[in-house]
Amino acid sequence: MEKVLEVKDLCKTYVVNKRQINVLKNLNFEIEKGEMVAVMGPSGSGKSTLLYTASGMDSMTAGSVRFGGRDIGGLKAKALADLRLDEMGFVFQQMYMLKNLTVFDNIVLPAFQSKKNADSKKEKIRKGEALMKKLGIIEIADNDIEEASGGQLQRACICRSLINNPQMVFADEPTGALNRSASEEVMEQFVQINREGTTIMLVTHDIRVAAKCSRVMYLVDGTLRGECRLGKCEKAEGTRERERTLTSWLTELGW
Amino acid sequence: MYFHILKRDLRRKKAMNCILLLFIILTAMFLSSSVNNITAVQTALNHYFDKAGIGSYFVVTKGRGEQEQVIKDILEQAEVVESYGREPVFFMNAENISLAMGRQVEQGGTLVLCDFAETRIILFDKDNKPVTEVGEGEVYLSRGFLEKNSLAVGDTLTLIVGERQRTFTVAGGVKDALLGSDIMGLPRIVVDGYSFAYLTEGAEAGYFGDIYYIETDDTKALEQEIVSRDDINLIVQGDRAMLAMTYVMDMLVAGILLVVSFCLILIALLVLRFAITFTLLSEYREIGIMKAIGIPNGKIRCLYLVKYLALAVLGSLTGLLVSIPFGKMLLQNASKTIVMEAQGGIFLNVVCAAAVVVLILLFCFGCTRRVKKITPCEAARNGQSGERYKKKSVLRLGRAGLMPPEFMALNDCLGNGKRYGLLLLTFTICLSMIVIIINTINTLSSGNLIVAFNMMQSDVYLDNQEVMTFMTKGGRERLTERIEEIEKQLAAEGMPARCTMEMSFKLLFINGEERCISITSQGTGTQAEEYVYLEGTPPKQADEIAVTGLVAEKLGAQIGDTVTMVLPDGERKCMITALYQSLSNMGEGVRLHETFEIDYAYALGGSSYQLTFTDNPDRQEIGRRIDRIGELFEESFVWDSDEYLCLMIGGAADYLEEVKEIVVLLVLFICIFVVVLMERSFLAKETGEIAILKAVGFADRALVRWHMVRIGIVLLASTVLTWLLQPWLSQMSAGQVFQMMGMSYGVTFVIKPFEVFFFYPLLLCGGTLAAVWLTAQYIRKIDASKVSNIE
Repeated sequence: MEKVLEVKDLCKTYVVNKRQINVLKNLNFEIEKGEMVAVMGPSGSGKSTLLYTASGMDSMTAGSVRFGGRDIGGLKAKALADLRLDEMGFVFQQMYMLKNLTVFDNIVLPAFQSKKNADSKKEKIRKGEALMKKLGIIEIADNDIEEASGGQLQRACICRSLINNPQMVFADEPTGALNRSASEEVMEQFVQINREGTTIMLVTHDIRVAAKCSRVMYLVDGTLRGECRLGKCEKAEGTRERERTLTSWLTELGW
Repeated sequence: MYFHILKRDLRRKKAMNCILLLFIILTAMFLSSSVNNITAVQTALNHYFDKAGIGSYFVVTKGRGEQEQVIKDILEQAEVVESYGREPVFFMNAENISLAMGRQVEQGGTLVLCDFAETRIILFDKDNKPVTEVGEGEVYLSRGFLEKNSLAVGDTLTLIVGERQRTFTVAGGVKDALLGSDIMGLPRIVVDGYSFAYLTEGAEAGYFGDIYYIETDDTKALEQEIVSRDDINLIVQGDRAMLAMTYVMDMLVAGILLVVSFCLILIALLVLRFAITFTLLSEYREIGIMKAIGIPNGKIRCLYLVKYLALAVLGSLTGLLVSIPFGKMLLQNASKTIVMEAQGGIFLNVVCAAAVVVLILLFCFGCTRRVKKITPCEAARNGQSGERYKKKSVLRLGRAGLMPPEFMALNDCLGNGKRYGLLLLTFTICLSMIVIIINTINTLSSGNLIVAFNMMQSDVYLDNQEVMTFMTKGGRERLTERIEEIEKQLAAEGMPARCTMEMSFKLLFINGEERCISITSQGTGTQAEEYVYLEGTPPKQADEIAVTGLVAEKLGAQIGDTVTMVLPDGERKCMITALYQSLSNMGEGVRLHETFEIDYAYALGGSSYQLTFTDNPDRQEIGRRIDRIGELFEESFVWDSDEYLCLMIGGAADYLEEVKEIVVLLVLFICIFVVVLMERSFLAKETGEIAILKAVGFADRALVRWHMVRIGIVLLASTVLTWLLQPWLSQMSAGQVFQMMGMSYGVTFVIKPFEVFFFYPLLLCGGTLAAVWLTAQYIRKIDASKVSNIE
């Protein structure tokens, strides 16, 4: 299988008050095309740092990260920004959007900024509308972001992350700020996107969310304690079984 | 606990608090120095006249003999005269002065030689200190004359009167309250008593004169008394109001300072209001949380009031300290001929700084009224109550046809009218300040303004050093011959031209009970109909005259009225047929028909020769001809119309040029300062949005562009606004000063498109955008990975 992300000996160290804090310690893993990988772990274990370092949003202290075959450690800020714009998508726990723009404009903004996206203006608009329809939020397209609910906004964020057909979507606790029903709706969308071929790496505390992923990595104190391969989540009926498997695996690791 | 919260707040929100503090310093500095300067400018002339001891009325007479006794009798006997001082003087002209290296003296009119010991007013040096003594062999000169002739301390000049001559060393320039203005046109030469006596001994009585400084409580009655006597040879007379008019050019410069000061105050208050509202609105989260834990509204408001009080006191104190040298710097450049001093002293600065503190607290009190409306729910929802249905986004990305950075910038500007409107107003005020000054300078230095002096516009002006020879019996005929001679000489050189000249007289006009002594002009070689009039028809016969609006007002006469003209050889009746306006003699003037028979022996003076080429040469050819005329008349100065106008209005254009440079620098500083602080505020407020844009792949350069375009749009809008408003603004500011100067029907400003529409807007926009670019580099430091930690 084609590898989208290859992480080798990844280290991340912060220096706070002349004290070194090793957040990530020699991490090694790979993510293949079409995978949906969850990163779990206790608070402060380095999950979000791993996500940001692996996506090139934050710098690494040592090691290497290859995305789509390119070593992102050697890329300059501009090249990294282009990479994030064209090849990656991001979803965060909070539904960050530009307050001065409508929901629709927030979604299509990266498409208009991208030089690689060769679609015409009409095509970009059509794609934005199609994504909003697909995620069931087309009715809020012209709304200001303050006129949308949290669940709607998070789905809008997912639309934005997909607008440039990224190779991979990084999500940092995408359901963390949502209620249960909104959370399930959003995860359904992630599963659907993944089924259509988009690779996903997400950080979560929620077993129900992680159970929908094909693989779960467990991180403690910046080191990978293990990983659980659950396989593709094809049908909704099997979710309970996957949750049970995941819970027992996590319990074994001391979760 | 409040103190603890306050301390934490000051420490945690260092950036915003520092920005606010800087804004407060700026406000206090501008307000203190500007209010002080406004009082200084408004009281400048009265203060100057008081300080110099000028009295309430003055008279300058020429000649010795009987008339000397006449004026003395009037002053001794008139009940309205409280006291008076007499200062003997000696009138000279440029021929009486010889400069080192054979340089020619640049002075068209009369010069006043005086004995320092006999001077009855206080003269001031360049540092505004009274001149206390003039040593033997030393000479002090009016500052205008000193600069016009490029003389410096230590230079030498020789005064020649008849057979006697003496060489002096220039000891400095003096600020002379009576004769010091360029418009008065009577530069003073101050020497020691021994030299004065030596030089004037045996000179003709006609060259002597006196200056009387009179204290009276009824200047009108005294004036009537003096002008009713036709046996006094008056050079000039008037009250303080009249004298003040001679400083109108200096007051034009001071007026510009006044406009600048008002603008600075306006900018400071606008910016302060913005800063307080902006910082308070960003505190909704803290306010919501405090409300959530049960702190009452009053206590929360009190907390912010205490915080702003601390910042206001600190900022105002600093601003107060900076305002003193800043205000002095502005005043020093306001006038070179007036002793201008801040009247309020430090007290006014302190009051202004205290006013800033009160203003801040009032603004803060007003803004914290919102505390009542902010709910804990808003704190939890990042300031969003979910109840706002008003559309914020004005544009749509798909329809705008712009790239995202430009789209976001335009959308921000249109969606935040108040915030960017304030910036628009600030830039517009700043640019307008520059444009008003430029338009005024260009108007003042444009030869077109010559017609406003009730003269014909000509191509070349030739210094008339023989004017005294025409001011005698038979002078009229001699002048006509000389003019013909010049025309022939020029024609022989291939420069066919018409030569003309203006002679001026000081005549008394009577209309019933009303009397008015006015400068009266008659052109030689011209026709009365060639001048510009505002109403009526030009004088067509010898007994017809045109008068300025001011003379008509003084005489209580209108077009069609017949007035009496008093000449030394009798009275003549003349009809007013037209009204005109004039910048000379503070708006007073009468024009005679060219056929009116008047003896030039009564003339007060004459203008330069005016040469108008009859073969319509282009500007380049005129320049070449000026050089040739300079060779032909090597003893005389030759000027083009722009240069001649500069000579007539004195150094006002040069002063304004210097003031312009200061204002341009000041405006650039204000714009940069305001925009840097505002940009920094925006960056602090928009850190989250920047981080998210970086996270989704926007490069730093695109984000910097977004911020620059945003300010660029405001700058462009303010430039266009200034372009549209500048004719009106120029009329409302400098136009008023021109009206005071005698242009009662207004002035047409000379607008140089390159400067007004291109150079200065570009300079301001370029400087400001460069500052935005530098400030926006902070975007590079905002880490996209911190997106989840942003409030």
